Amino acid sequence: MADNEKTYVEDLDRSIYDYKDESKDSYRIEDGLTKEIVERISESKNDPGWMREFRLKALDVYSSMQMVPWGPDISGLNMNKIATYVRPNTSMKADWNDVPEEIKKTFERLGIPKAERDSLAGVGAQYDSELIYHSIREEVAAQGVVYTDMESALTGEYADMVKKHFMQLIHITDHKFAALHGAVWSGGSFVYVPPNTEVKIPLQSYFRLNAPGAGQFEHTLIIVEEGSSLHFIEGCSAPKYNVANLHAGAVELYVAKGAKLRYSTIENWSKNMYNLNTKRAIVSEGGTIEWVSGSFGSHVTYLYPMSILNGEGSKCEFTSITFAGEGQNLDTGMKVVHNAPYTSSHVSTRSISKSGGINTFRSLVKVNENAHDSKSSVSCQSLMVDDISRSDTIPAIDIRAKDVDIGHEAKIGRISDDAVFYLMSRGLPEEEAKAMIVSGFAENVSKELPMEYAVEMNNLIRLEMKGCIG
Amino acid sequence: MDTFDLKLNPLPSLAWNQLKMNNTTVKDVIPPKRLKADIKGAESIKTDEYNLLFDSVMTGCGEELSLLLKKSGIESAAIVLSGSALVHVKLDFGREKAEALPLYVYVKENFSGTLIMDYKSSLASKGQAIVQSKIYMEENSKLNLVQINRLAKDFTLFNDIGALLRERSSLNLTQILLSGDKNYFGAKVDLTGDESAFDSATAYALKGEEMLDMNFVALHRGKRSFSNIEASGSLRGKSEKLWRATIDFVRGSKEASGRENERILLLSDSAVNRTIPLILCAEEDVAGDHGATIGRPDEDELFYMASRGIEKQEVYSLLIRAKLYEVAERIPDDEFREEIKKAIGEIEGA
Repeated sequence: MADNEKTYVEDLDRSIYDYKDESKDSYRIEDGLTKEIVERISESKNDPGWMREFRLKALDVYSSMQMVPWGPDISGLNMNKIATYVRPNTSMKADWNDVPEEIKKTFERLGIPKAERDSLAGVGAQYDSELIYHSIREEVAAQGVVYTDMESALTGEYADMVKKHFMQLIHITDHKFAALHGAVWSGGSFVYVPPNTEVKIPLQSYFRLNAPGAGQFEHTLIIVEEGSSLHFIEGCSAPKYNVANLHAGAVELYVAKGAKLRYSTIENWSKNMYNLNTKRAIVSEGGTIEWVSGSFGSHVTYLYPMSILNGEGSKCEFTSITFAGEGQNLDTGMKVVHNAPYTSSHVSTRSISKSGGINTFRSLVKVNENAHDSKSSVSCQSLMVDDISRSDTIPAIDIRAKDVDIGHEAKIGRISDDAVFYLMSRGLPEEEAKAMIVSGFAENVSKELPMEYAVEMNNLIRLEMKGCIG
Repeated sequence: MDTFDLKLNPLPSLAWNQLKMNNTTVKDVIPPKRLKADIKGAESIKTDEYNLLFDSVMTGCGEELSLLLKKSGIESAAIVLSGSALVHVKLDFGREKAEALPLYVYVKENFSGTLIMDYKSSLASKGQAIVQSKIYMEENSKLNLVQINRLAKDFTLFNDIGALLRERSSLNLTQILLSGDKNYFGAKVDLTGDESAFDSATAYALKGEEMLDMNFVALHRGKRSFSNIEASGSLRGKSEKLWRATIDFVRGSKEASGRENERILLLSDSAVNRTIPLILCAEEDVAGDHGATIGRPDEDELFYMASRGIEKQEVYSLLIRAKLYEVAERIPDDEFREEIKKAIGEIEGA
C-alpha cells in the first residue's frame, strides 16, 4: 500500500499562455500618467472633440480620488512605471493571413482562429492597446448585427449611439480605476444587435497583453435591442514578466425589453497582472443578463460585475469560479440591484484556494422599495485545499421592500467525508470519488460554456488526485 | 455637557464603503454615570485582581465604547461563578440621563449555570443605557447568559459582550428585544480553547422607528471549536435592522465549525433590512456556513391559517410572536421564562 499522500489540486498549466512575442511595437508611449500623455493618446486615436474632453476630465477625477481602504494591496502597482498605450506593428485586419506572422502565431497558439472557423459568429482580437483583427460572418452582418472596434464605432454611423451610451453606466466617479479607464481607454468592441434578432452562435473578443510594464484598457459596449439575443465571449491572457502589468478594462451592457445577453469570460492573465476591471449591465423589462465567469489569472484582481434590473420581470443569472494559487489575491464577486417589481436573480459561485492563494468573495443584493415580488438566491461555496491559503466571504444584503423572497447561503470547507463515503458505497474507489467531487465543484461554470471553452477551462483546472485531502 | 460621537460595531474585514456597513457612528453619546445593579446569586469580587485578565477580553461594540467607559471613570462590577448557580442581575435604568454598568464575570472551572440580565427602566421613559459584559470562562465551564431588553420605548441601549473561552467551555447566549428605541448590540467571543463553544440566538420584533444594529464575532482559535450565531425577528413600520455576523477561522483551528443563520419577516415596505454575514477562513480543515432567509410570510403558512379561520392581522401577530417564543424557550429558568413569554404576548401591536 502506498504511503498516504495528500490530494492536491495541480497548479494551472500556463505554458501556452506564457509565450512572449519578441516583435517590436510600432509605438510605445512613455511610462506614467500626465495630461500630455492623455492628449497624445487622444490625438493618435483621432478622437472626436467630446472624447478628448472626456478623457481629460477623467484624468482630473482619477488624480483627485483615493484608493479604497478595503481589498488587496496594490502598492506594487506604480503608474509611473506603466505605459498606458502600446501600439503593435500592424493595423486592424479582416483576414488572419494579413496579420503579421508573429502576432498571428500567438493567436493561433491560443486557438482563436480555429475557434472562429469552427464555432464563432465573429472575432475581435486585441494585441496590447489596439485591435489587430476584427471580423464578422456575412450572414450575421446581414441580420443587421454590428460588431466592430470601438474606435470605428466612435466616428462612424453609430457615433451618436456610442456617444449616448459611452461610460453612462460606469461613471468615471465610480472609483479610481474607472476614472483611469476613462482617461486612457483604447481598443475594445462595439456590438449592436437590432430588434428581434437571434445571434445563434457567439461573438468573441480576445485580449492579449504582450508588452511588459504596460496597461490594457479596452472598452466593450454591447446593446441588445428588444426581443434579441446574443452570447458574447471574452478571453484574455498575457505572458508573465517580472514587472507589473495593469488591466483596467470596462464593459457596459444594455439589454432591452425581452432581450437576452449571455456574457462569458475566461480570464487568465499572468501573475504579474493587476486586474482592476469594471463590468456593468442594465436590463429592461423582461430582459435577461447571464454572466458566466472563470477567473484563473492575475496577481491581484478586483472584479464585481454588476447588474441593474431596471425593468419589470427582468432577470440576472450569475455563475462563476475563481481559482487562487500561489502569489494570487483575487477579490471577486458580484452586485445586483433589483429596481423594479417581479425581478429575479440567481447567483452561484465557487472558489478554490491553494498554495497560499487568497480568495475574497464580495457581493451585494439590493432590493429597492419599488421592487415588490422580487426574488433572489445566492449560493457561494469555497474549497480550501491547504492551510496556507485563505478564503473570505463578505456578502451583503440590503432589502427595502416587504413582498420579496431572498435567500442566501455560503459554505466553506474541505471535501466532505460524507460525500466521499457515499460515492465509495456506490462502488467508486476513493481516489475516483474525490476526483469526481472536485471536478463537480468547478462544473457550475464549465457546463454553461460552449464545449471548446469548457475544455479550455478544464485544461486550466487539471486536477490530480492522489490519496486523501488532509 | 460634552457629548461624544462613537464609532461602534466594526466589521473585522472591511466591505465596500458604499454599503455603509463597516461600522456605525452614534452621535451625541452622553458620558454615563455608574449604574448600581442588583445582583443575586453570585459572589462579588474585587475588580483590581482581575483587571489584567479582563483587559485581554475584546468586545463586539469595539474599542471606542470601552474608552468612553474609562473616560467616564466608571468602575466595573465583578462577580465570580463557581459550582452551580442561577444568578439574576437586575438593571433598572433611569435615575440619570445616561448610566452604564461594566460587568466582569469570572467563570470558574467546571461551573454550570445561568446568568440572567434583565434590563428595565421603571424610573424614566427615556435615557441612555450601556451594559458591557466581559466574561472569562475557565476550562469545562458552561454558562447560559440571558439578556432581556425591557427598557422603556425611548431608551437607547448599548449592549456589549466580550468573552474568552478556555478548553471545553461553552457559552449559550439568549437575547430578546422586547422594547426600547435604538439598540446597539455587540458580541465578540474568543474561542481560544480547544472544543470551546458559542451558541447564540437573538430575537426581536421592531416597529415604528426602532432600530437594531448588531455586530457578532466568533473568533475560532481552538481546535474543534464551535459557533452558532442566529438571529430572527420581524420588521414593521419604519424600523431598521443591521445584522453583522463574522465567523473567523484562524489558522490552526482544525476541525472547527461555525454557522450563521438569520430569518427575517418583512412586514413593511418602509422597513430597512441589512445583513452582512462574513466567513473569514485561514484554515483548511474547518466547516463554515451561513444562511439567510428574508422576506414575506410563507404563503403555505398563511393559507393554512386562513383556512382555519384566523384573520390575516392575527396571523401576522402569531408569526411575530413565534420568533420571540422560539428563542424564549432557551431560557433555562422556568419562572423567568414564563414571565418573558407573558411579556411577549403583550407586545404592542403584535
